[in-house]
Amino acid sequence: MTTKHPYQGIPRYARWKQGVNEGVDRRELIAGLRFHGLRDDDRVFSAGSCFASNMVPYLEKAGIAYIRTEPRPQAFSRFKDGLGYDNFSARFGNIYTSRQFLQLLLRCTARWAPMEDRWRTPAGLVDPFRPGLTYLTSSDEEFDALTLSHLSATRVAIETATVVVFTLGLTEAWHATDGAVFPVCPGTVAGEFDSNKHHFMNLSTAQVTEDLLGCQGLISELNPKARFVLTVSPVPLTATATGKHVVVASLESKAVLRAAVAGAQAARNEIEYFPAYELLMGWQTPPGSWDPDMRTVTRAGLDYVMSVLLAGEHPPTNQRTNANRSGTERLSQLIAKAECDEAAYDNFAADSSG
Amino acid sequence: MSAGHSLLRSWYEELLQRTYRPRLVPVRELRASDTIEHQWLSTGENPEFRIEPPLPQGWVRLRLKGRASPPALVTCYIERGGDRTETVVLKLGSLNPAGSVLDRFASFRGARSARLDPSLGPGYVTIEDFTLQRVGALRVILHAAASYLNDDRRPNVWRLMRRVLAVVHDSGFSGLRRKIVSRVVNGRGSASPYDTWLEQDQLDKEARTTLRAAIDAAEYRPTFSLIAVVQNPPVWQLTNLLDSLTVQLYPRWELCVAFDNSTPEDTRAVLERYAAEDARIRITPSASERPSAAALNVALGIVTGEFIANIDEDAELSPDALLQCALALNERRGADLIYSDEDGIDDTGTRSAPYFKPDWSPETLLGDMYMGRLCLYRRSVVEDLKGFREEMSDGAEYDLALRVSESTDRIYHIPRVLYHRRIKRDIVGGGACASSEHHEAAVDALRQAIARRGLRGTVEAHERFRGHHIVRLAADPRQKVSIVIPTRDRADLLERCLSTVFNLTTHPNFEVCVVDNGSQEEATSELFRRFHRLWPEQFRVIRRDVPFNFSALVNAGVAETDGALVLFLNNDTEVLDGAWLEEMAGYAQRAEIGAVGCVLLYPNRTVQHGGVVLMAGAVAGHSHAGQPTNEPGYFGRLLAQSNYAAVTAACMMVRRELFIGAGGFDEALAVAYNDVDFCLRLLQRGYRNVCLGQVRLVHHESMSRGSDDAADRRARSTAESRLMRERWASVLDGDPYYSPNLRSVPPDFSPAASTRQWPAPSGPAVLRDRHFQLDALPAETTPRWFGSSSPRLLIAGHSHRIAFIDYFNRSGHAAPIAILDQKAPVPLMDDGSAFASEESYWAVALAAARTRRLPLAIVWGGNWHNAHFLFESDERFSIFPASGPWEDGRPRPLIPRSLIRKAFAPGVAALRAVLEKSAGADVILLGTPPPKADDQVRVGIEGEPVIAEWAARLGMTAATLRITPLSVRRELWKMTQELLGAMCREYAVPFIDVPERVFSGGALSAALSAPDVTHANGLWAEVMIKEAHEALAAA
Repeated sequence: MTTKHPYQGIPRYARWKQGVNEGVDRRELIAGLRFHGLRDDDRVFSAGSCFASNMVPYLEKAGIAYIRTEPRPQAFSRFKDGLGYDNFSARFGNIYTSRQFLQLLLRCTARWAPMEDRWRTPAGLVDPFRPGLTYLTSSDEEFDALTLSHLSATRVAIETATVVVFTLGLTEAWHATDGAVFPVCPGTVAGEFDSNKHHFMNLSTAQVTEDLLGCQGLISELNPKARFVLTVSPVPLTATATGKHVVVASLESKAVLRAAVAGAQAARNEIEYFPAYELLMGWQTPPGSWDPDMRTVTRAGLDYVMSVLLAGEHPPTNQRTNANRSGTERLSQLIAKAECDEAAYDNFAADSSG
Repeated sequence: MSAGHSLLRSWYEELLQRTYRPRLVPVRELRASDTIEHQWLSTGENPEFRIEPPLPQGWVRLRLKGRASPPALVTCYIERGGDRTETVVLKLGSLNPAGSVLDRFASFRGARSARLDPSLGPGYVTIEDFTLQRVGALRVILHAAASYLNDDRRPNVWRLMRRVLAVVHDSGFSGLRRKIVSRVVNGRGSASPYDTWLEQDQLDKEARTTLRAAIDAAEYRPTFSLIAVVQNPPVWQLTNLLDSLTVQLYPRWELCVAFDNSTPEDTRAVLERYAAEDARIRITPSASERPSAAALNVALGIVTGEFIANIDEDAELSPDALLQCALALNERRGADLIYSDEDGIDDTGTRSAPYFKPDWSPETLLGDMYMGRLCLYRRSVVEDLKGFREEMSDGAEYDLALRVSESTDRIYHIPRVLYHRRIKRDIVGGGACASSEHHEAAVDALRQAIARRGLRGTVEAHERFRGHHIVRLAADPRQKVSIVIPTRDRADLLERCLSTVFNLTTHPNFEVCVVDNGSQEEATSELFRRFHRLWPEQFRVIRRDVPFNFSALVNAGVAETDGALVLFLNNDTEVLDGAWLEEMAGYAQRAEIGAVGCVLLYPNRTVQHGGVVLMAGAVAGHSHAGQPTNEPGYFGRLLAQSNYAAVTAACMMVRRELFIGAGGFDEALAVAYNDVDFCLRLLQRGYRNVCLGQVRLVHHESMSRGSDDAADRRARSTAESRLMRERWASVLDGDPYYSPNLRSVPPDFSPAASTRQWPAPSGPAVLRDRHFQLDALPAETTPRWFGSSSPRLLIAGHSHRIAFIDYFNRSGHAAPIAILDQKAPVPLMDDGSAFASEESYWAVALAAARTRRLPLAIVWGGNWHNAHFLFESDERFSIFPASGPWEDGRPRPLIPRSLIRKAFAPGVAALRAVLEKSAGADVILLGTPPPKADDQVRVGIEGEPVIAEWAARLGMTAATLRITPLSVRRELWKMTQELLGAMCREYAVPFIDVPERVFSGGALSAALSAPDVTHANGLWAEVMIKEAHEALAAA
């Protein structure tokens, strides 16, 4: 059989009329992106913008192992946040740019260290790369030990993963004189802004592509078997420093990120892409996927994305050693109760510092 | 000045001022009191006087001096004639129980008749003076302008002119006129105490910002489902309600409106419009003919919020109402029912008649549904109780409140006015009057509540105030009541007391023990002999010739008698009704009740005692003192059973076991406040005190207690007040049964000049808990020290003190230490030999250190590292500087030390309360034992069957449970020592560090270990005592 032209015989979803107007099959939206899905025996590592942390509960509910190398000890289960235990595979917090992720990987493999690696505040030493952590130390020795422990935990997380997911959030970034990229502009969450030391950059498509290729290289060095899956966060910027309208700046930044992913995929066959961005920002996006503020994805929106991400069969598995998780602290308390009489004074305070 | 001259002058003044004192003629629903001059009983919702003509013409100043109980809104209606009659409604303001002067201007031009409505509901109104004074228009304008434009009410011409110019500048002359006219007509000229109160309770922009920030910071944001049954309200009232909801500062609410066939079309149209605009408003038809309870259930069926509240179709909510509720729920996450204060709002939007409610008062709830509105119920609780019971019809809400209160005690009060009830009124009269059906339903709800609670008793609506109920609980006649009457001579008084007790009392089982404190008169001995002849089994006298000490006399009386119930009675009382003892016993026999008191009357039949109110900044006072006895008291508090913080010992009943358990009356309080002190100890132990409004005795209140001179008395009274403040300051400042919004000194139930307890009127409400502070605790009477009779060191503390007990035993009881033991909380009905609470334990320890002038070594906590981290879960961790190598070769993530510190903080922080009180005592703090090696721990675990049981549940045995590595446990323990040491430095208390020599292999040396997981043995104690003595010697 001969074809008259390349559009003959293309799948139905490749035509707007059939693929969209006649009803979108959401599973078909991943076609051609090399995304190979998630399997029950996968162990997932994730990093990226806050959107990336949304997937964690869905994965765990589906019985797919989510890697945590810095888990929250039970005794702190009553503490609210400021701890950073629950969102990602290790306590690195939000990573919005490809550059910051690349630098994290460089630090994990002891290839690079930032110069401005701690801010001295009256409350203690702040990690500029994890400014959201609120339990600080004022000892340099403990700070060094905590940082080393964190980097080593991140490295172990990647080494033991089968899938590494990174969600790109922004192109705009603030960096120190040595190029170290901060997750947020100094002075906003913590630290002090110093215009002599802190500079703005807006990563170009080519720069993001380069960073992603660098990340892929480092990940496969740490763990040759790990798959590298990229996604782009559909969430717009909270603010832009470019002087443009935030809508325009957001769309530009998403376009750059999406194009950079395409560039990375063109350069390396093994890079996968999951279209979370298109699922929530496309013409087919179900109404009600966004809150009225147009910045927050609703529960329904997340359900929609995750139904595609977890399209395979995932029989609910027994939650990992739940009994054990809640059991050991209880046991510790029982000892105290059996032997001591001051138990009444000894309830941990629920943390209220947020 | 001669009488004639004075008369002339008053006549002249009256002429000049043109003052009239018109006669007030009762037209309806008013009955003149037969005992009190100028007092009227309003018997319905529309009491009315005619103002007897001739009426003045032109501008008139109306002044009315009087008081009302409950507070009452006074309104004047002026009929103006001509071709068309016109009625002018003039609100004069509210009368309150403490007395008010209402002062207003009005135009009487063309007035043909006028009437005065003194109240909007049943109650007593006393009108001491009512005058109409003709005045010139200029004076009216000046007065009104001054009252509007001046901050105080004394006209200041210059300021007035400046303000006038400012108003003219802003809004022109028409604006000035508008403001002045509105001031004349709405009359803020004479602000009532509630107006003043409201002024400092404004929800201004700043307050709103504060509140918004508070709720933004709150972690819990429940949804509230409000339920309204709408039948036929004026449309504007309904829109007011709906608007008051849509402007709520807190967005998470839904309103479910149930309407029925009687709801008119235009009302429905309004509802539909609002529902279309705001998705939170939903409407649902109720098919039922009898709308209330059934419709409430229909609405309940479709709501989704965590809490539900029933609201009236014509009421309004304050803009912060739901936000305050949400904040309160953040403070009390477990609350199942919360209720707020409320007031009335009339058609002009004027607010009056505030009801400042007490905190959760179960006995008061038996009298009436005092919780009123806003009342939020946890929906799951209501659903568990299957909602409103439709057969209770109008009593369904009261019935629900009673049932909810049987299933939970997590009931809290928000002391803020969040709900404005519509004052039902129309000019023609005939406002809504609660039907007799309504009263029957309430009585029925109460009867069922009594039965459900397994009590026997009767419920009766008050004969005059039908909305209030007297609940009489049947007393068990097998329990004897021992009546203890201290006395000294004054045989005439005692005779009246004794003869009414013996001749009237219906309770079959009582005895009287007179404690004679030095009587000398023959008449007294004769009286004793006579009663002994008459009632040989039931009457006896014991003699205590000591300097007058009421507490000692009462304690002696109790010791000499054996009734299960004891009743303290003053010798100058007089029983009026024979049921008194039975009624008091019915309450006193209930397990949860402490002291029971009653209303005491002066011989002139005004109230002497209606329950004791604690006074912020002072000690305590009698509520309702001086009020006529036929008045209902503050929202009916004089009518039936009500909770009070305390009751007077002039007539107080309590179970003997409680009296003994609480340590009896404190003899350090010889004359005053011994009853209050005792009642507060009962409260502290979790009992509730009750004053029975239905039981009344006359108290002749004579001083029959000897001849000490006045200066002596004053000094003693000052000393006793001071002692009370020292012991109970924080309790006295926050009477749970008397609203902080009410004036505390005197406690007369009038609005406080400012809200006392919550300094920022806008700030989130703080819910009070029945929680007492260390400083509120009196020393226990019988501490158990054991050890050497001449110790050199006192030891008190938590479980690590057992090492010291071991040391004492090992040393053949020769060790020069004394240990304060028996600190574990004991059941409340104790025998007085153990400590009711941790706080009282420390109070005794510190007191002993002070009085015996010995150092007190405190052993505080020290098991935190075990209590949370002994066993390890999958989330392994370490803390700096503990480092591997770890047995599994994997790195352990480090946890910041600051996080551990935070986790340990509450246990250490409680020490602060003890050190705060340690002034004057020589206190040191001992370090606590370090962790034990793994094998020692495992030996200890095997001795704890409960651990083995739990381990089995987790699929493990005591041997396979993973123990946190010793190096991590040691770092955790070091942090406990650091925290204790830091606290000691703050209070300049020496901290005795654990010396190196107790360690072996990084753990507590096995030789110093007790055979369990946590504790050390006597050898450890010996080390620490030695360290302590060295430190003390060095200091």
